[in-house]
Amino acid sequence: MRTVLSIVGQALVLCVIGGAIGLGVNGCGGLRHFAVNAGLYESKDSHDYIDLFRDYFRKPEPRPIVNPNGTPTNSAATGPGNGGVATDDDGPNLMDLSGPTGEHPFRAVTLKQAVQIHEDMLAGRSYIVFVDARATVPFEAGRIPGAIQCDYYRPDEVVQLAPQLYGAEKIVVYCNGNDCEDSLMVCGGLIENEVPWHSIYLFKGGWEAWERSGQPYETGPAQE
Amino acid sequence: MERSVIRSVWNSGVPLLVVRLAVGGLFVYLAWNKALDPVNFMKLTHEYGVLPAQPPYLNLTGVLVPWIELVCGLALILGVFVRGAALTILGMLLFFAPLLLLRAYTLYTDPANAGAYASFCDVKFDCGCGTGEVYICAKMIENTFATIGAALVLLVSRQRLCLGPVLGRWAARRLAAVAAQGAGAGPIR
Repeated sequence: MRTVLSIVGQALVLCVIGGAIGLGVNGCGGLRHFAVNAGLYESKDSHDYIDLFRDYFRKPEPRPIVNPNGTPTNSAATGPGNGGVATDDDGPNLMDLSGPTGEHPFRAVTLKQAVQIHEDMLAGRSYIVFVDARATVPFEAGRIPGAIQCDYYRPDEVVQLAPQLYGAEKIVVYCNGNDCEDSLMVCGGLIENEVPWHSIYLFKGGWEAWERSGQPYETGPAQE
Repeated sequence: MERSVIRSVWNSGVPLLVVRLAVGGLFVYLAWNKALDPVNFMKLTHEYGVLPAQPPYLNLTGVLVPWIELVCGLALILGVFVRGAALTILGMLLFFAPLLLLRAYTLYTDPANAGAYASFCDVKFDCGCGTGEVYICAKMIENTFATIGAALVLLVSRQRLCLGPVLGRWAARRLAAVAAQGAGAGPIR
């Protein structure tokens, strides 16, 4: 019995020591912060520390959606009704928070529609922005050309990006695809920072669909 | 004759030291990768769905777990609080192994992934273990060896080639010296 208590006591001591070091390092900005400054690590991302009180996984809250002219919409939560690009009439009524694999409060675009919007962006027909919601390493490994990065998990990333998007006609947000929720988080963050809902489009197929279809892509650090 | 050779090799403490170094080294490496990107580790832990998403549960997990693993790994390598470190590591392995299998099974049977995997062993995903994407079978083999190693260290009562007893004796001598100094100073008048 004494032996068991001694072993459990050792385990507790180690957990307390490890926990104390973890809290201390996190409070000082994270291990990567020290490692980069010491030249031990080349920073590729900045998920250095965790904000202990931030809800990183809060999905967008329900709110009634109105048309751009201020009248409430009554249409059901669907994506674009026709094969063309989503229009303002295709918006949902109340937000459904099932996530990107089910109903969600943002208009979804297919790969074909995303490609069309991208061509419009390249042709300069209107102010269109593609937002990549992934971390730096996958972003630099390959992304939709011209996409800007918005890593939801970095402090204040969405807050700093939102003002740049106020005048955008279309903002297409994507991440890896399938069950990736990061794009949904970014969309919710943009709405919370006063980006108009009707300008946000969710590209659910994401990077995987874009890459699989053989579309052009770019790599490397984001160009300033 | 053979048994006495095996026994003498075992009694030297070298085999157990090798096991400790292997398991401890593995955990130090994995924990270091997690500690460098705690947010990504927290995200991947969230995907298992075992902890509430609201703070501070996942947040604390992301902060504490990598460093507890690192300290336990170092403890195994140095031979300090060896059995306690082995118990902690064994607990983590036994807790996460079923979750890994369940996650792999969920990916394997997901209709969205139909045809993506030829067999269960082809399932590949980032388990949050600190090594990026891994094949589930290779990961389970690695975990099995680590579990056996940790269990072996835990069960062996007589630990050799450990720094713990040396540090303990040094600390005892220091305390005795301090106590003797204090006694030699005499009562305060």
